[in-house]
Amino acid sequence: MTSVVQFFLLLLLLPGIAQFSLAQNASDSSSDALYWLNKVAAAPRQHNYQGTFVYYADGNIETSRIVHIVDAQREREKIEVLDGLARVVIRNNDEVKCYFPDSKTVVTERRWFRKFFPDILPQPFENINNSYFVKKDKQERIAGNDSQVIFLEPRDSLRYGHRIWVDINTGLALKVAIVDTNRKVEQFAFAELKIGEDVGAELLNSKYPEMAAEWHNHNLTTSVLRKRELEWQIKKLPAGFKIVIEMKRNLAGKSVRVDHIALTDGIANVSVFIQPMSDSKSPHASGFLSNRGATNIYVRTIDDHMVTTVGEVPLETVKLIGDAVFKQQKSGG
Amino acid sequence: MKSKVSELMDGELDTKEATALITGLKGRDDLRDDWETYHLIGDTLRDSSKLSVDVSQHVSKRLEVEPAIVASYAPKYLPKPFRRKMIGLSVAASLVIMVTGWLSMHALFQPQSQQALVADNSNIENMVPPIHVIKSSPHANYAYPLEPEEIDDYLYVHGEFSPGTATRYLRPVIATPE
Repeated sequence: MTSVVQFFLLLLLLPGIAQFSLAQNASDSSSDALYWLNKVAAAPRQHNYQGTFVYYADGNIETSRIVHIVDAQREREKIEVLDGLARVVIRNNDEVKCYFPDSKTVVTERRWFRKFFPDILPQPFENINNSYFVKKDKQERIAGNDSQVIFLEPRDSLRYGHRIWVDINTGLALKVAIVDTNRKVEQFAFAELKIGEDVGAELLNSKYPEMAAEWHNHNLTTSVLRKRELEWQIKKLPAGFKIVIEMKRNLAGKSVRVDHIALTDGIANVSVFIQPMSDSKSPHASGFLSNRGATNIYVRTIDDHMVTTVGEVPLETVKLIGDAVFKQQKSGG
Repeated sequence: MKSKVSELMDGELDTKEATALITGLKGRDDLRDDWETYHLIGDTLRDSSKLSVDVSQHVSKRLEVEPAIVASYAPKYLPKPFRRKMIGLSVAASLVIMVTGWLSMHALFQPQSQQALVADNSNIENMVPPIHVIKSSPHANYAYPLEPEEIDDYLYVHGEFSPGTATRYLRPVIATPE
């Protein structure tokens, strides 16, 4: 008799439990899913790996070979793009050199934030829960490795969804897809991958650093400015976005320096570039430029300057950000 | 030759070329590897659960050494009264699931009052910043602009914030010295 009473009591309680869990889903990402994201962010600092990954968007495939070596002192990486124009990227901690054998050119720059696939999350990543509902999905096998799928579902229409296939053993991202509702707009995926200490540093060797001594060398330099020091500012940021850095920078082989403001919502990134238009140019119409995959580009002119907004976000978002750019009055005249 | 394999996959070869290449595939291990690799890449990207590469031989060999299980599993090592109890428990569990399912469906499909929806939203708003929801695409309202000369450079330097982009966008433009 007692067990029957207990059974019915349980039945009465169940809807409450179910509704409570639904309410939780509507607001907070699961801590388990966030734990997996932390693993993704940390994995490139913990493991050596070597493999071939493919980038796919709009019917185009680009294949790259990557070698990644990490030790207590530094993180080194070599990426060779196997399709189209030959390109080799060699990274030594923050210094990135990109070699173009065809034109005998090397471009050098410093990178502080994120690097290359599969190093997809910024360090540290934060506020993701404000813009995305992070949840665990099924498990799948990618490039011979078992993976846990994590889905970052956007909380509004200002950003795309991100699906990440995380290697269960190491936390490395094996595959990443950016999705617009249910349509994949772009993907990175390992086709083959080897992880572990037997990936030797000799694989980083390349003939290009020596050859490049005779090549054209472009050094991309930046001057990081204090908050609001830049003449150009963004009036109102879209929900969930914050400014990461404001700087002036040069571009490869060009004398002009451009203003660059970078924003992020924790996952998606947007860059705003502002530069004066030369007299010879006719004014540009405002509008969008077509681009491959998830990246959208919005161009507008303001006070003889061209404002170009670039980001892996929907058209609406690049437009909101681009339109919010204004020239601030210098204080004290 | 590798590019021919790729063209064959994309259906870009005529019958004569395709036949010649398929004959070649049979005789050359390296070409067959390329064929399999390209298909694996395709499968990886398409989320295909059915692999193009034939793994049936490997599976058959594996199965040969696996012990065959033909009877359904039943915990026969348990004494009879425990077995009976387990059956009772599983029936109870099924009942609970059915009733819970019905109740959840009922709760989910009940039209919610507007007040309840507003209350839910305000709860979320306490935790996250206000959300802009734009429904119309601004596509049609704007003329197609001229491409900024520096667009490739922009995409390249934006790459610091977006993994992979440095390898994706570089076109000869940036590589041409002035």
